[in-house]
Amino acid sequence: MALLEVADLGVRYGPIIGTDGISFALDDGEILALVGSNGAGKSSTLKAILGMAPYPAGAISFAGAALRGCKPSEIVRHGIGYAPEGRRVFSAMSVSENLRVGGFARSAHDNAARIRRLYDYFPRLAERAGQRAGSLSGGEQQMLAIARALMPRPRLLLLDEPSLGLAPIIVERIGEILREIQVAEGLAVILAEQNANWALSLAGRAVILELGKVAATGAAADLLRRPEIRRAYLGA
Amino acid sequence: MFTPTLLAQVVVNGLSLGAIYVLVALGFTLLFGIMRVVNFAHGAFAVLGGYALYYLYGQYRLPYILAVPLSALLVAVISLLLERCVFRWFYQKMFQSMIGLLGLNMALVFGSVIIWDTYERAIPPAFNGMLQLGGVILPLDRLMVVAIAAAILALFWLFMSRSRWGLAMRAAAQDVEIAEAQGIDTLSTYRLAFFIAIFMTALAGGLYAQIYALSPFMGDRPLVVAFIAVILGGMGSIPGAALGGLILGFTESFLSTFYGATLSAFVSFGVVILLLIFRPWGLLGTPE
Repeated sequence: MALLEVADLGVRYGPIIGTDGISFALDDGEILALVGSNGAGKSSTLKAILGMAPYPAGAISFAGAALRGCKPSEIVRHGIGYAPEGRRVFSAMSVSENLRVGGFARSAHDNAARIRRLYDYFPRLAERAGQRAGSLSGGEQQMLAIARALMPRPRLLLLDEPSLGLAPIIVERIGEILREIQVAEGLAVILAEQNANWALSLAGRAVILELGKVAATGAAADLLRRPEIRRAYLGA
Repeated sequence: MFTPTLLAQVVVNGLSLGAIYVLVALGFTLLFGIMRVVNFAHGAFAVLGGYALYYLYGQYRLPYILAVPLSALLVAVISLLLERCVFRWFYQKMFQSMIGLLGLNMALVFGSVIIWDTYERAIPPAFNGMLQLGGVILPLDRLMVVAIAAAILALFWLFMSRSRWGLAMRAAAQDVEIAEAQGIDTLSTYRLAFFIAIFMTALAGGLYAQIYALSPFMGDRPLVVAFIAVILGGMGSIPGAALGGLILGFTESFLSTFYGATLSAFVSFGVVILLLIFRPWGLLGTPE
C-alpha cells in the first residue's frame, strides 16, 4: 500500500480553482517532484495534504487513514512535515527555538536529541543556534525551515519551492542534504518546484502539473529525456 | 517639597501603580498580539477581579496571600465561558472585535451595576504598618502590591521564555498558520492566552480596587491606561507593554503628587500623541 494517496483532488478557494482532479501516489522513502509553472496547483496540492486548503472534491489518505476534516496540527502528528513557500521561519526567535516549535508535540528530551541530529545534517544551523532566525541568509533560513519540519521525525516531508531565490550552489547543497536524510531516515519527500531541472535530478518520479491538472507523470529520468517536456519545462 | 520621605513614597507609589498597569497592559497586548483582538472589555475584567477580591478577602476573610491569586483565578475560569461564547468569534477580526467587545464591556459593566449597584466599596488593606528604612517611611500595603505584581510578572516571563506553551504562544503571535502547521493547535493556544490575559487583568483589578475604591466603573481608568501603555510600548510587544505601564505609573505618581491629577492625565495623553506623530510604532515596537 502506498504511503500517501491523492485521488481526484479538487482544491477550491471560493470560485477560484486550485487543482482540478489531481491523482498520484507515493511510497515510503520515495522523492516525488511536483513540477509546473506558477499557478499549476503545486502549492494547493501540498496545502490540501496538510489540511490548509479546502478540497470539496477528491480524497487524500496517509498511511491508510483518510485526512479529510483533520486540522493541520493533527495531520502533522500523523507524520507529515511541511516547509512552506517563502520559508516563513519565526524571525524573532532563535534558530534553536524555531526547532523547538517544530518539535512542539514531542518531549523536551526527544527534542534535544533530535536537534543534535539535525545539526549534524545542517552544520550551518549549529553555528547559528543562538542567533535570531531573521538575521540568517536566505539559504540558512531555508535549511532552518526544512530542519524545523523534520523535528518530529516525519515519514513524509512536503517542500514548497525550497530553491526559490537561492544561489545555485546553495540549492545544490540543500539537494545533497535532502538526499542524505532520505537515505538515513527512509524519508519520503514531495518536492514542489518551478526549478524542474533540479527537482527532476533529485526525484525518482515526477508529476508534471498544468493549470491544476496532471499533464504528465513517470520516472524522472524518462521525463528528462522526452523532448516535449524538455522544451516546455526545462528550457532546452 | 522634595524631602527624601516624600520622594521615596512617590517612587513606591509609582512602582505599585506601574506594576498594576503593567499587568493590565500585558493582558491587553497578549490578546492583541496573538489573536488580533482589541479588548475594549478589558477594564470590565479588572472590575470583576475587584469584586472577586472583595468577596474572597473582604467578606469571606481568606488569607490575603491566597485570596489575591484565587480571586483572579476565579474570574479567569468563569471568563472561559465568555471566550467560548463571545471572544472566539472575533479572533483575527480586529475591527469587528472592537465593536463587539465594546458591547461586551457595556454588558459586563451594567450587569455589575444590576448586581452590585453603583456605590463604591472598600477592600480593607492587608497591611496597615509602615516600613522604616533609614530616614524613609514606606507604606507596607503598597510594597506588598509591588511584591505580588513582581512575582506574577516573573512567573509570566519564565512561562513565555522557557515553557513549551509559551513558545507556542510566541510562534502563534508571529505566524499562526505556520504555527498550526508545526503541530500547535491554534484554538488551544488562543484559549490559554486568553486565560492568562484575563488572570493578570483580574489580579491587577483586585490590587487596584484595594488601593482606590471598587465600583462597576472602576475599569475605565485601567482600560485607558492599558491602551496608552500598549501604544506607548508598541502594539503587540510584550516588553513594550511592560515599559509603557511602568512609565505611565511613574509619571502619574510623580505628577499627581506635585502638580495634581489633571495635569498628570494631560501629560500622559500628550506624550502619547507626540509619540504617535514621531514614532507611530511605539518605543519597542517594529515599524510596519
